[in-house]
Amino acid sequence: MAARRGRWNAGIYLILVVGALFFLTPFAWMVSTSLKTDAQVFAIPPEWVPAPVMWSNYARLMKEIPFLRYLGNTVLVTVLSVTFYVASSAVVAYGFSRIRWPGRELLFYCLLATMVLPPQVTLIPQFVMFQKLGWVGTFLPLVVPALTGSAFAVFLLRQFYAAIPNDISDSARIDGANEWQIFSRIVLPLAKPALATAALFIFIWTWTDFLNPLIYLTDDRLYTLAIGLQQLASTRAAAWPLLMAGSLLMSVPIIVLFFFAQKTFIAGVSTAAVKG
Amino acid sequence: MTPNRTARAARERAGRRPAGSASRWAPGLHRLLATVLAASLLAGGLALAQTEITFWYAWGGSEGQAMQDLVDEYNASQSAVRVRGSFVPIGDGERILASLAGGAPADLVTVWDWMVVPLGYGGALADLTPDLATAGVTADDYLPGIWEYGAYAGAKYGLPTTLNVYGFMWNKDVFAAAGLDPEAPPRTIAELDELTEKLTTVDARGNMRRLGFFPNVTAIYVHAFGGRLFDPETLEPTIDAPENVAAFEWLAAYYKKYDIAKIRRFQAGWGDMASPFNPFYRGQIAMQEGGQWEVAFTAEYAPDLNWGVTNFPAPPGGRPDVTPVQSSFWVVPAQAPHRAEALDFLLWLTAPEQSARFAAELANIPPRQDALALPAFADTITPHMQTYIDMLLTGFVYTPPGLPVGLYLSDQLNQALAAVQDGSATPAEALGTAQRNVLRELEKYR
Repeated sequence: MAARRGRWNAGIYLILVVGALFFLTPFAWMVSTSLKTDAQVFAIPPEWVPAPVMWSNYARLMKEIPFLRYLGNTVLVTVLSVTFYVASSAVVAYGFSRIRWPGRELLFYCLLATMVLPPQVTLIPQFVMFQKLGWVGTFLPLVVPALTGSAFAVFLLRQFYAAIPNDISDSARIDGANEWQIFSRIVLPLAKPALATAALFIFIWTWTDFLNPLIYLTDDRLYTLAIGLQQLASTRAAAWPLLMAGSLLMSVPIIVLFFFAQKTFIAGVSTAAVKG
Repeated sequence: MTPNRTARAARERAGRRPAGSASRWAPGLHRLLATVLAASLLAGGLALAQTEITFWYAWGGSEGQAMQDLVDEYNASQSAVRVRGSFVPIGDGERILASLAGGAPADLVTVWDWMVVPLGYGGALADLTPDLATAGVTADDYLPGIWEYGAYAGAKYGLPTTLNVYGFMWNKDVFAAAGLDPEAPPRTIAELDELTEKLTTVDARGNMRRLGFFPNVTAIYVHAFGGRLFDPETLEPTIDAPENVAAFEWLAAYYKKYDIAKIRRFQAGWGDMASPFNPFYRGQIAMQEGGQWEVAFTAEYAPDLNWGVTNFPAPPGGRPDVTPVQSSFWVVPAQAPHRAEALDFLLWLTAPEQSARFAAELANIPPRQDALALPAFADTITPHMQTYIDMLLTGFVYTPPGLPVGLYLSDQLNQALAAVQDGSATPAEALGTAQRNVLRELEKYR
């Protein structure tokens, strides 16, 4: 019986390892290409190990484009967006799940409906609006809308809040707590996994967002990495080693964050999904 | 010592200074102050007089640097205008469309050719005709067939950046290995069919090993067969013209003979065009449509490749000298804040000297007649490039349809081709449908 279970586990691990290798291959190729010479990138048969190892590609990347400036811009936009989105969505979701008020469900469905609209549909009206506000060419159109919440994050958090027993809120109410105190002292600390999940999703979207910075940032000194890296590609050919070095550096924060937060991340998603 | 104390100590020291020393310094100090004041006023005045214009270019890498170098050179050449160039990828035009709709476009913008007439005719771009006439720039300054490109109904909405020219390429080594004359590319459609058959090879399991030829850009054959997609005089679409139907019948026969599904499977394994895995370089396809960029690509990825380029084959009575040309465009939005300054910079940028230099950097062909002979470009011409230039100078040049519905027309042509490929319509039926649809779409603009 134990032997059979051992074989079963070995089989599962084998599948997982093969699957992991399958998904890791493009990443490994990115790492390898970022350290190759231009000539070695297209060597036939393909070569996995860079020879010589061109660490200088990373230095060249910094010289070719203002990488650190773009990185700083990306960090600024992402940190502000994530903070604003999570803070506002947490409050909005509370209103949609823990407080009863007329028209709540209808308004919630209206909010969900905004998730169905492709961003391209609202692109031009939004641009006109920001243009009239004089915000085009600044970070404001990328950051300020985050203060009004994200439909996805509101949905995720609402599902999570709904799973927290009402008795907890009721007993706090008996003890004299008001709604804000119940939200900030009881519900919010319990919702940490869901908040972390929402933050991670928003982080990834904002970090890799290409369209919005492209539309709103008119000054190339304000560009984020997603747009800045495009400068490494010309019509004739891309500077592949530099492009891969840049892409790798751009992916590192996401990978690091996932390693640190994967337990919270998975807990947040599964709790919201199962209990909701 | 704190800053405050330091300042106080300095004041005390100054207060103890003999009176005479201050007066001795005074004339020099006054002169210095006057000079500084005059310099600041001059610089301030210059800054006030200098107009800053914004220019969006779409090239990255070394090409982007070459464009930025030109911008810097223009800025250094005069003091009235300062061009602020930014790299803005065109993509599907999201940025330009949003900025035009929002009434906040740049002064000079780079766009794809298919955007020019629809945007211009819709009122979003400035008609450059009067400005070009004032500047004395005429059709003769441009290569044959290029002046009309980007123009519609008498209005010219932009100037081409650099040209891409298509030719018929063949792999001489593959020809020789197959026992064919490597110096004898097909000149007629019948010869092309014959060579395609000889050069296409299939393995024992029926999988394609090499494709003789694949007609990819439908419009080439429409023109080679003597047809047109629209009448340049009346600006009416002519998609279902008999010559076009004949071209589609030839295409249909090709797809039937070689089994398009089998070709698609074979093509799925082809490598990136800008790499040594390009199927033409590896001999996976023996003849292909290819532009002058191949001169730079082959030099980089397949330096030993033995290839030739010539005009596209045509049937008897067709056009044996069809030369398809494409380009991106520089346009001035109608709402550009500094139209006159943008035009001045555009005229400088498209002048022969600048045109020659930028085209050489891109391995493209400059659209200006006089640019071809300038050393900046002429010194880069290889024999293959010379063939492309000759085709452009002597051939029947055609550019993508410059109609307000140009992109829709191309889509309709592709749909007609798909219908012919899957056998759901005959060539005449498919092109008839496309013609009706384009006419209906065009009605919206009348």
